[in-house]
Amino acid sequence: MNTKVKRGWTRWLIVLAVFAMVAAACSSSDDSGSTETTAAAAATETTAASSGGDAGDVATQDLIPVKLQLQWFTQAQFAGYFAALDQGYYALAGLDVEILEGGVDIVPATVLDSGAADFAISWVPRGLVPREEGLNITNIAQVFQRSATLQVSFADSGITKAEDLAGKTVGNWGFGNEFELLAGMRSVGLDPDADVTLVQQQFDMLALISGDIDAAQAMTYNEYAQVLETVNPDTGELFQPEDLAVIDWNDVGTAMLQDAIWADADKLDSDEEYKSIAVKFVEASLRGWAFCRDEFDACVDIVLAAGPTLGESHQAWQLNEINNLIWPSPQGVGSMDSDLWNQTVEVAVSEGILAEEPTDGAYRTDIVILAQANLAVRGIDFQGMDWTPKTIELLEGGE
Amino acid sequence: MTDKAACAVEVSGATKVFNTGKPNEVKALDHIDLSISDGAFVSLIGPSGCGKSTLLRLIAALTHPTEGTVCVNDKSADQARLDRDYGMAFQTSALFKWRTITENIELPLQLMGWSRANRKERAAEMLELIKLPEFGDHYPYELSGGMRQRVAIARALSFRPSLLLMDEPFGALDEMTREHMQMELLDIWHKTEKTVVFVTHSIPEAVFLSQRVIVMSPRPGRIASDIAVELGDRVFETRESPDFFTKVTEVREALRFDHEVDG
Amino acid sequence: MIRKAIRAAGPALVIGVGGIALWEISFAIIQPDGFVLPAPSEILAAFTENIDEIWVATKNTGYIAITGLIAGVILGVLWALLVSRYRTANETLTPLAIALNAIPIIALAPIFNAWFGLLSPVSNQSIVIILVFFPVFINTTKGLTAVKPAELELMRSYAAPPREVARKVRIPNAMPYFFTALKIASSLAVIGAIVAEYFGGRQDALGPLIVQNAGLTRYADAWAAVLAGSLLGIVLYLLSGIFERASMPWEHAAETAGS
Repeated sequence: MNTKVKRGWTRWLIVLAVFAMVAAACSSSDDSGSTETTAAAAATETTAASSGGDAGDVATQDLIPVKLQLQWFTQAQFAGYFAALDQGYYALAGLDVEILEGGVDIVPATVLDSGAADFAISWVPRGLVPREEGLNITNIAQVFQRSATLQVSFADSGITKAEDLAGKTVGNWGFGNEFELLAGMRSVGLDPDADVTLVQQQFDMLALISGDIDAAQAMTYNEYAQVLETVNPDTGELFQPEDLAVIDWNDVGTAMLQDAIWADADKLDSDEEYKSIAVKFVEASLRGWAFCRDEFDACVDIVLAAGPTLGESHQAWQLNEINNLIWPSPQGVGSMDSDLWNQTVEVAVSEGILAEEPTDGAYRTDIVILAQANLAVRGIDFQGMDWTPKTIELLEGGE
Repeated sequence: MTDKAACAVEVSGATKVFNTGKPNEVKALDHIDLSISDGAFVSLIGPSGCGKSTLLRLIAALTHPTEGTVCVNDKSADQARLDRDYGMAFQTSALFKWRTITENIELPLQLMGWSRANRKERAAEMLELIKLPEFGDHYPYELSGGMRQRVAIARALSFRPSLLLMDEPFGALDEMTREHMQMELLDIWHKTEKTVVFVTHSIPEAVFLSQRVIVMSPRPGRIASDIAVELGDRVFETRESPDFFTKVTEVREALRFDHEVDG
Repeated sequence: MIRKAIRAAGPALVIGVGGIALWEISFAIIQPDGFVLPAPSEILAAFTENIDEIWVATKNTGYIAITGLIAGVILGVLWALLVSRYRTANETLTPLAIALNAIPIIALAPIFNAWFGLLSPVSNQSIVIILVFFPVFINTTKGLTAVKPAELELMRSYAAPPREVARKVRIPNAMPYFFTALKIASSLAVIGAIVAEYFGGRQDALGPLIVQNAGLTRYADAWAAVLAGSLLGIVLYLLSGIFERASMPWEHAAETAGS
């Protein structure tokens, strides 16, 4: 009798345990909603409080829902979009924007093409390859004018130019981030397969600091700073820029265009409403970037409020470096520099990243021109010719 | 007759209690006294729980008495085990399925450190004895149950122990094979002059094989009767003789313990 | 013999070929665009196109998988022998094995990379070893201890010392269990090697090839690398099977005898 009761008990316990696990798994996937809801709430609140003036009283029900897929985790790299949300620029344009955080396994092009997002931020090569695979997306605003990819090593390694990489262990992240490096090596006569040892690097600088690799891939605005935020065991102080040597692919001539706003090409041609939304979205986004140029500290605060991983000094460094990629922008932020586009395409084709040159429509300028025109009407400076970089002090761990 | 130990097996006052002090304590054997002379064929028979298998294991020194002594070949049962004075056969043939028939027979010889040549020779001899000379290189799965038991017996005898202990070795076989195996066993016994202690459930089997049938009663295990069987040299027809039936009846009567209570 | 093998493989072949044909045909009709799972013909085309790259990657990943498999098997067997022989070993080593097995790989991989170095094969081999040793350990222990009581009694009747019982009874008894575990372990070894590669190391290996192509929406290329990984796993499985047949002639014969 006893054993029968016990057996019934255990069966129910097992059912309950399985249920609990399934419930936990389902609920955790909803976490990504947190960033957007707070930002949207902040938007409706600050509309009246900050920048003022033309905030107006646009009822929330009238806003069109729009989703933006970022290429990476929340950080100052995407400050303009967070600012546009926080300052109510999107709301003013009639858009209720939800910002979707990116990550290692998230491919913005796929998210855009599937319709799970209306716009996506992606580097140009990482947009062109899926486009060649059949995903019909197009570049509607080239936000970053310059590439920020570096190959970083310690100064005493003597790696100051691409040729010095011969015979070394060279880290890179793969996933489409390595093309400038590979092309840069080939441009000086190195064979990436034979003359260097390519190493899969994690998205940090630990392998360089521990000595596992001689040269590491780093973005000016991110991983480079992570080294400077680490304590040098030899000195007990933070690493200094003098301790490091960098190779800048812009100088080598194999840099490729990076952050741009991408949209669904088919929809742009077939859906008039989508096209007008695109114009408004680009306009508000660029206005957000202008805000981050002019109101640096406020912008850093907005980014911090969105919940990035690294702290204030790191985000400040990052915003400064990002601004350096955008401003000054003589042709206006978001315009396409055709020389750099051609360089990007050339590197892509010669590296075998693309089978052939992209077909027409890989990027379009009509939308950004309209957006810039609207900004001009509002008196917003979208060239930033007076902008100068700041000096940022980094703290340990990027706090 | 050659000079052998007068008493092959001597059990004195042996008592075996399992799980002493626990709620499931059971007295399997109660003051057993048993003498088996050299060269005899003795059967132990009784219902379940009478302790016949336990008694066999006491003789084999696979378990030890709570009280009393067990002597084999004028030594303690343990010493006899260490000296490998007996061979044992179980109801399951317990052949190693990963060894060929020859290798199975050679197992005890290997353990005793015999040379390869000696082992081969002896194994071949044993295969002849059990009349399976062509099956040396086969695996156990290729043989029938009866054949496997024959191999088990060959293995038990391979090192020529003076004592053969058998625990219902034919229990899993069908009736015809069983009767055939009984003839084979007797044939081997005649040829090798071993002492055999044979545990069985089957009355006809006990009567057919042995000169002496020890009847045991259960709870606790005791020797109820010790019945002598004089049927001469056994042949197939022995099973159909009136003397055989009389003896079987006698044993059957001895097994009806509830009558004893009535007195 | 050949006809028998074909007849045995027949149903599997029909289902396999039929399934692939169905896949190919339905894709030709539906023609999904940029879909994550391409048609078999596309995967095969990508496979042959990238065969050089895939071959090098398979060799590198295969090296880790095979060496890790061997080391893990040896470790598992030794562990099992100790545990079956000594009670104190059982009390200490068995819980340790269970605990090690419970640690998720994604936690261990970066730690091993830090300990052994990003480029050292040891960091990836260690992942494979941890994955492999547990099934081998558990199954072999079972095989060493699940011996028929009659067989143990027989050895006692021969006054055989524990060492002999281990050599003559427990180890042969454990062999079928061991080979079952070996077959499981051979697939795990490939999986472990590929997953370990996601966490850094050389890029000319199957793990990066799969994940990076997927990240660039080059799905046919990603699946081609997956195909290579599957083939590697299948080859290891078949080799285990051959090893098993050779080591246990009595088992194999028993299967075909049908007695």
